[in-house]
Parts: sequence; C-alpha cells; structure tokens
Amino acid sequence: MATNFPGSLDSFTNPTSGSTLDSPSHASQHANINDAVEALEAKVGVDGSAVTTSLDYKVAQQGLTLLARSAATSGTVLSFDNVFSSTFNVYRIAIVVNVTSAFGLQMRMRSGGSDSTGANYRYVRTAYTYGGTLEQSYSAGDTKWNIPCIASTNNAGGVLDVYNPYSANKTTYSGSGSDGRVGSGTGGLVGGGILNTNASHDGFSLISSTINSLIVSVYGYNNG
Amino acid sequence: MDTTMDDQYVITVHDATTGETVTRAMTDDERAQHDADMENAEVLPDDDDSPSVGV
Repeated sequence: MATNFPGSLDSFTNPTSGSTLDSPSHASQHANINDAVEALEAKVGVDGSAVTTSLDYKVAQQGLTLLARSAATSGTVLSFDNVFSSTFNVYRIAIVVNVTSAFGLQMRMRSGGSDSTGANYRYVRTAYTYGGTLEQSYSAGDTKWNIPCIASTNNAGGVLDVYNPYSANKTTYSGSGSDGRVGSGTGGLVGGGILNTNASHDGFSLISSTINSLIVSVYGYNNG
Repeated sequence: MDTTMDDQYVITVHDATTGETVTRAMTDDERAQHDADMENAEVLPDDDDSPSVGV
C-alpha cells in the first residue's frame, strides 16, 4: 500500500504476536512506513523550503508571528522584556484592558530591563466625544506616550504598530483604540508619536491605574 | 504575589526570551517613577455609566 498522506490519513495493519512474516507482508510493512515517513518529510519541508505546499514555507510566509503574550490582574504596570529584536522591523501590540478607575493608558520604551524615562516622548492622541467635541492629548517632551486607549471599569482595548524599535534610531508608533467609558467617553481614539532619542529598545511598559485585567499580545510583521 | 503589597506599586514583567512572567513589588526607582507618572497623568472624568448625549 502506498501512503495516502497528505491527501488522507493512512490506516496501517499492525502485525500481532502470532503473525507470520508473510501475513501481513514484512516487506510491505517496511515499505508502507518508509513511504509514510517520506510523505511526512515532504509535508514539513526542509529548512528554508521553497516548496509552496510545505509547512516550512507556509510558516515563513505568514503575515504575523506571535512573539509574546502576557496578562496582569493586579498592579499598575505591565512590562515586556526581550520582545523586540533585529528579526522584525514592525511590531503590533494588541491590548485588552479593564481597570478600577478611568485612565488613559501610557507607554514607555524599555531596554535591558529598565524604562527609558527621559522627557523625549512626543505624541498626539485625538478623539471625539459622543457629543461631537474634539479632545486631544499631545506633548513635545513628555516622559511617556499617552496612547490611544482609555481604560475604565468597562473593557477597552487598542492596537499599536511600533516601527524599528530595536534599531539604534528614533522609535515611532501609530495606532487606534477604544474608550471604555460610557457617559464621558469618546467614540474611539487615534494617535501616534516618536521617541526623540537614538537608542535601541527590546521592550516596553504599559502604565495604568490599578488593573483588573490587562492582556497584551505582541506580534512581529513578516519582513517579506 | 505577596498579598501585603500595595497594589498601585505592583509591576508585572514578562520576559519574551524565557516566557516567564513575574509579578513583584516595584523597586524604589520604579516606585518613584510611578508616582511621577500618576502626578502627570491626564485627569479624566469618572464614568457615570450614562450617555452624555441623548440616544
């Protein structure tokens, strides 16, 4: 029997303790296993495979790679270390948050286990209230970014793209998010900023009021 | 986590290399920075859980 894999799963006949070498055929047993292993190798693919049906090729072509996911259920800060590297140029940070009191999430870049705390963070964050009033938060020299996500006792979230954080150059970000407040809330926020100092960063910190739940996933964009 | 820690001075750190997440009390420097962050934070109105505009 030639292998059916990967079109369908094989069903092999196992010999029993009383089986003779010709039933099932001993030679066929080896041949079937050999065929199945070769089919598995072909499906997995060699390192750097150019075969488009191989798993190695498909994994290399995927758009986003999950690099880290973590959560906090207490405290006021969630930090990530060693998540940015030379492997990717652009990173996506996905946030879901619930806190004890309304708070505009803040973010700082981080390196070697410490936040970059200089007054070099420039940002703009814009939103409209449900009454149509424009609300802006901005700075040309803060010690952190006010990112576009306002946490509250209702669930809120945001997605940020961070550009070239690991290179020894200025790091920028852009993104959008929601506002968990109802009565005093805004209908979503957009924003972006730059860390106006030339330095490599391997992580970041999110700063909040007291956290009920903060879940953060970090992805790397395929460089293509 | 030490349940005696003041919750506002608790930090959770995730190391993407090891996959390890540690929740601990802030160091003195981290605590001072957090105080400064809170002092300079936006003042946002608490949610009254009712729409400010009629629906």
